[in-house]
Amino acid sequence: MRNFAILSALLLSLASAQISYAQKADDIVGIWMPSEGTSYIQIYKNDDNQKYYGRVVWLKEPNDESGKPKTDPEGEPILKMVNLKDFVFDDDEWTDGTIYDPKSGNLYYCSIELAKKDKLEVRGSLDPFGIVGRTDVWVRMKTK
Amino acid sequence: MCTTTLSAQDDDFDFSTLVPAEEVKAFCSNRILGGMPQKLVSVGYDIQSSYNMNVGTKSNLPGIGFPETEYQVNRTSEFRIDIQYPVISKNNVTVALQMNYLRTFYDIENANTNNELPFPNTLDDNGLNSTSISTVVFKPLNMTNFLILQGGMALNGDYTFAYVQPLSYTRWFGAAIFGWKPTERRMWGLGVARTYLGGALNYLPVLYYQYASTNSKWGLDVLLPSRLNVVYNFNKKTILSLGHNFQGNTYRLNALADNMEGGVDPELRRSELRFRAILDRAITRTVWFSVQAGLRYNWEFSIDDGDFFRSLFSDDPYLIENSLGNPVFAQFSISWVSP
Repeated sequence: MRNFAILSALLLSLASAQISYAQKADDIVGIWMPSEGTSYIQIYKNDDNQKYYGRVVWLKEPNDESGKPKTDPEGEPILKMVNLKDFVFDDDEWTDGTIYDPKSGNLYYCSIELAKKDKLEVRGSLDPFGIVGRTDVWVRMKTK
Repeated sequence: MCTTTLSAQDDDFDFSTLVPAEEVKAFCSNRILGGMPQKLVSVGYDIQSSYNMNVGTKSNLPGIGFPETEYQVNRTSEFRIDIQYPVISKNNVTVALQMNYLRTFYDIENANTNNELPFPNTLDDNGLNSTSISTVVFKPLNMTNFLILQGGMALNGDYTFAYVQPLSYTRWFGAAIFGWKPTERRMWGLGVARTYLGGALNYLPVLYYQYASTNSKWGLDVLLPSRLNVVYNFNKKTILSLGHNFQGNTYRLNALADNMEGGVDPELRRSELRFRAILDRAITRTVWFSVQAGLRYNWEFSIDDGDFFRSLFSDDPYLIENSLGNPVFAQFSISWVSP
């Protein structure tokens, strides 16, 4: 009976750690505004592979000078484009992902850290280790 | 207030009603949309055709007289390494460390003709070295205005790595620019530079201008008086630039100093203006090959006594005045770039 109690407590603490880990991993989920303030990115979890993705959900200027929806250099519409892909949560950061800059058409390696509750540090880099890159600060968007 | 945790299917949601959870200040970035790829590491080789070098066309050297001597420079070649590493690259500040090494080799016919003035000898034997390190800070103030600050030091001379010249001959340079970025495809600025562009120390106004057309086909890359390039993008992998490059340095001539009496401190004011066409071609997304060709116009190649201010168009006499012919040149380089 005593062994059963210890085992139950152990399992319970493991399960609670697992829930807390999952909650922490999901802290990235939400709407974020990159530093330039001209777009919003919605980060969500794909339930099939448990990886995190992001898509452009709002543009300050959704249309180009001719009144047509803005596109990337390949001609793909920027609005609703999935430009963050394949992030996994590991050791307090979301790694192994890529970020696509639809303005320039360039794809970078990317890792993301939650600097504060409502601030992300998104680092796009030329190398998979993040040595040569640029860090952008994204702020969480909320309803009024 | 509540956090939005919308699912990927919330297409009907009006996102424009959202507000930032924290006070946030937006900043302009340090590059324009549709601009040239940024070269992070570049290794290049440069070769010039033959030309004449007239040494001692005038001399103020006290107590020593020597005849003007003409030499034939069969070949001048240069090897260069340029490294730019972004130490800090955030939206509110960018700090980059730069390291540049330039080695110039001279092949001079009859370099030993005049033993009284072994200037061509030292060029032929040792060539010229230029090693510099600098820091460039890009500080955006808001979405429109920014500051660019640069400071660095250079060790230039006929030294070899077995006999490096004293650090007291380190030369300092820098620049400060205040700029505007009215659109994503245009940024410009005005400033001042402490520079050795004309060979000697100088303080010059600087105009910075970067522009890319809406379709990214045409562009301008300007940092006057140092460079002006009109850029044409054939496609994302091939870029043609036409323009000029104005560069210079003062070089401590150790071998000449050892040979002179009376505490003369010879410094070669070397400055050249290159009119050139550059073709940049992507090998991979981040590795680019570049070939350029054009005319190398000699701005200055005379010798002064010591390091001091001399204006760009100064008529003040040099210690020894020299003149060079203006050959054609070709340069090849390979670079690791940030696209």
